[in-house]
Amino acid sequence: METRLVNYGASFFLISAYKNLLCTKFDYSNNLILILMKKTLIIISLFFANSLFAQNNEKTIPAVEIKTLDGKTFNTKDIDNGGKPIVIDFWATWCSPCKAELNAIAENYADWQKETGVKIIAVSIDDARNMEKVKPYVQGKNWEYEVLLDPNGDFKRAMNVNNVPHLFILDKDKVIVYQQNSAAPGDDEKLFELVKKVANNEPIK
Amino acid sequence: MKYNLLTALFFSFLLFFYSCDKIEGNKLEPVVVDIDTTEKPIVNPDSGFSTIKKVLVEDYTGHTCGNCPEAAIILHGLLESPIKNNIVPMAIHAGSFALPQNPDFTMDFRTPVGNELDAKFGISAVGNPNGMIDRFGYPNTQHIIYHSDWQSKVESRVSIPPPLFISIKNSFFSVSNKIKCQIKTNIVNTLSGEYKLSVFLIEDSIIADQKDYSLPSPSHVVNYNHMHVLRASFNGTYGDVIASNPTGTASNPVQFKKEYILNYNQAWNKNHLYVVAFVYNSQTYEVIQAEYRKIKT
Amino acid sequence: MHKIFFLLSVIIISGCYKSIAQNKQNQENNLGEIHGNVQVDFQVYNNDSAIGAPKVPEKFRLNGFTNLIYTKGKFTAGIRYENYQNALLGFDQRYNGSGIPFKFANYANDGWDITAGNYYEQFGSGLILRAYEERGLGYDNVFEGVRIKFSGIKGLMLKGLVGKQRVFFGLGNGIVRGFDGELSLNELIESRKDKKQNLFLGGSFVSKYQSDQNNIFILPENVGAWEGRARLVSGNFNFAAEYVYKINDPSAVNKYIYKPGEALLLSAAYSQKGLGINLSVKRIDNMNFRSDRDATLNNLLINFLPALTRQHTYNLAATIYPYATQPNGELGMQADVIYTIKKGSLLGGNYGTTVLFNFSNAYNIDVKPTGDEMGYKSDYFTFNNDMYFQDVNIEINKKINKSWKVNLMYANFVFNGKVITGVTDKTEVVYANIGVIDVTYKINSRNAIRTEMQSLTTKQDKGNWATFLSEYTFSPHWFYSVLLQYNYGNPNPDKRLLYPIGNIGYTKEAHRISIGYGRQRAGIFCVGGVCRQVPASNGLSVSITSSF
Repeated sequence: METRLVNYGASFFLISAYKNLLCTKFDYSNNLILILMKKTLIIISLFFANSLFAQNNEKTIPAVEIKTLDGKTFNTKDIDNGGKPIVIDFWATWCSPCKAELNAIAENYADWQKETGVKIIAVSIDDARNMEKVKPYVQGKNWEYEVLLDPNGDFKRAMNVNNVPHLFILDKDKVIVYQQNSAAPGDDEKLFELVKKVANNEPIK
Repeated sequence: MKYNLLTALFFSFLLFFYSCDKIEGNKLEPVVVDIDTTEKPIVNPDSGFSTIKKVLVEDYTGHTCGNCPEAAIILHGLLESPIKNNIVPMAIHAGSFALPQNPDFTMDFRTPVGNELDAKFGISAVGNPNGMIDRFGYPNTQHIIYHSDWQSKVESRVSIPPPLFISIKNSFFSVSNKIKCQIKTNIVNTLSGEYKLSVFLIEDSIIADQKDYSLPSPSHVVNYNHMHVLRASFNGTYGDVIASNPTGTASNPVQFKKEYILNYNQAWNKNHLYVVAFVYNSQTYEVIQAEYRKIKT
Repeated sequence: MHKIFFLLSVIIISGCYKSIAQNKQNQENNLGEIHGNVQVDFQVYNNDSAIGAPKVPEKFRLNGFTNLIYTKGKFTAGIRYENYQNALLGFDQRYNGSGIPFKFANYANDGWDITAGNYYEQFGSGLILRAYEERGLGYDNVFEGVRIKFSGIKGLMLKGLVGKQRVFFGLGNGIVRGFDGELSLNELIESRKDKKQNLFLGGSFVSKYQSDQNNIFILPENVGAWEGRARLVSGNFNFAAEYVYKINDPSAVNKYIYKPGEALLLSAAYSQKGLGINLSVKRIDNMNFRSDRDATLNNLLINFLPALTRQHTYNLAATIYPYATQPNGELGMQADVIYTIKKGSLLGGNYGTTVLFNFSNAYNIDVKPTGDEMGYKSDYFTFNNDMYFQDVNIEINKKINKSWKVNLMYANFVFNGKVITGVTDKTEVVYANIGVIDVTYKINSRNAIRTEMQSLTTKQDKGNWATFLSEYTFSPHWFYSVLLQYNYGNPNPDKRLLYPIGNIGYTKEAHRISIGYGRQRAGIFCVGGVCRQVPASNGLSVSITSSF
């Protein structure tokens, strides 16, 4: 996999860079302690640098306290669908493309659920100005999604979302396998294709 | 364990209730002379009593007021004219054109004193720029003078023989960051009514943004030179009573002397500060004499 | 010799470590995860005096930031680096520079959550305390200090915090202390678990300390505010009330009066399948609450006073006459109804038709000046005539068939430019009518084109405007758009200008780049009731955003 190549490439680069350091900067005649310090420092920094590249880049959902439409507190680590795919979609009542996509999906949501068991969680980032309008809107549009309220952007920040629309697809292990930072007409069909792949444990790419 | 911690939290919550300062009764600071006498200030010595009538020219302005630079030019012209020694200038930023605005006009030159004066004399309510010359003509909006009339009004006030003279001595304490001024007044006539002394601090040459409609759109001057900006007051908005129905003569004047102290605010430029002092009739608000002196640093 | 041995050991160690790290099979990562995002917005400015574009000496301005968050088990840490060299036109230039204004370490376990460093927080709906960020506005009043949360008992949430707020790349003068508690009756009391009615109660106390350096007035150094809130959820109904009381807080914004401040927010909502109704009322009296009493504009605000007006999405309705909350005093209400006409019926068509109706307004509160340092008295039930804003609008969404979708909107605005400064050219009351037709045509599964035609007609201020927008999306990655705005009704014939902007964008998963070129008219960009002026500009603008 490409990541492995990247890892090795990076390690070699780092090692060669430090090799120069080792060759030119050491003065063996002096201070053994200083030498030891330098060596440990280099090892430690290499270690961390390597961990940055070699680490498991798969992301899980952070644990953040937000609210449900009924006002109860909800911790995002409790997001669960019993091993079936989950879609987390950040939206707002003032974001037209977000609403357009969620409305397009709403028409076929029942079929999606029957076929894949997917659960769509629509997280609204509306603040106090519009927060009270979320439930009337959701009900008025007949959405069947689970809707959560994130008025101060805590979950949005923890998921590194810059702007809406932004959606995430999670696989059976609740690991994020796909993200999308846009919503164009027709994207809902493509989303369903991806969800089907995730439901069948196929890789997305 | 959890419940003990909970009760601890609850009591700490109660503690918060004590961090509240409700100010009842008097809201004004008492004027106290409290300077460390061992510190040596930089003194601008007593100016001595002038012999001429000095006229207080107040320009009510704001940094988003595009028509206001015109008035500042008139005031500047007066300060270069033959009667320049008879002018005591003051620019008060108040009203909606003085409000800070994003992104370019973020400075706030308003002061509580300036806001009160503007509300009292109703200047910004009429419009900006507008001013007062010796606050003469109050009330009935006769006191609000448009800048095109400033020259003629000043000339008419200058010819009045002054019944009172003011002298100012300034001291700047650079270690304790305080400004002290000593004001002396001599009344050489018999006057009827009560008279008050106001002492203010103004600052020259503040470089900041200004809207100027004489320039093409967007009419924005980035490095405008704001002059005579009112920064603070030594003795409140309306000042101190110095005399009531005084009977003074040239050889036996009615005297008044007082010292005032102000905290120097680091946001000001100490090299451009002036103390402005003027005496007015507390009924009619007419200013009978004014004076100003630079603070030496 | 030494060197070779050393290199070898490093390679072996890193090799061993890599193999451990890459063993992903059902194993929790032992070294945690690092994720983040990056966003860079830059613009290149041309001179354009016809539209009143300010001269930009640098020609090129950039706002950029990157966030990094590290999580391992119950521990999280993060930093954000921001760069404004120099800040884009329309952003407060006091941001110029770069630095790390946001850094934190957090540990959450067993109901306890402790954060040291920077944190965002909101008590209730934010009426008493809200620290948040809105990058598009250049708004960030994040706290720097310590925050402790306790949610170990089900149905109870306690929060305590202390900190100073951010202002540009520094910290504000005052220290803020806050405490908030909220309980949910159905979760707290075991016997109520499955009841249909649920009651939530909450309360907070926030106080700020700032020393008194003022010569004239005796200023309160500790200013405290109390808040109480309640929410009743019963079947399809949802009632909420929130009240804040703040003691004397003389400040630059309220002109140094000693009157206490109050804020009241009430809302009632009813919703069922196909119908949603919401009614809100708010009253604000002297609620400017900042950690530095001399701060102005959008700096160092402790609380958040929401504008209760509709947040419009269409350009002419959102950026020309938007309403910004008046912290010194306002009274307003909003009524919102959304109804979806069933599919299959005559008006509903094959897919159902949604009708949204919204009404909102804002007035000044009753003000009776007292002539002393208390400023004024205000009676709750006297309704003053000074209208600040009114917005009546109706919107219809209809999907005609698989390829065609139509949105229609009409709005009528009354905007008091005498009170809300910085929006109109002359200070006058503006009456405007806005109409929008928004049509989407899905050509096939990959291509779609959306066209908007908007019109704003008014006899005041800059006169009539027309906007034409066309957006073409080529799934999955590309989008192109053309925006034309024409101020055909300007009373000054020289100002009847055309503002064209072309945009191209490419999106792939969590990465997006968009490039625009053209003439941007001056406008106002608002989020939540906090606004930023966007000056007119001409040139290239690029935005790159990515999450990893």
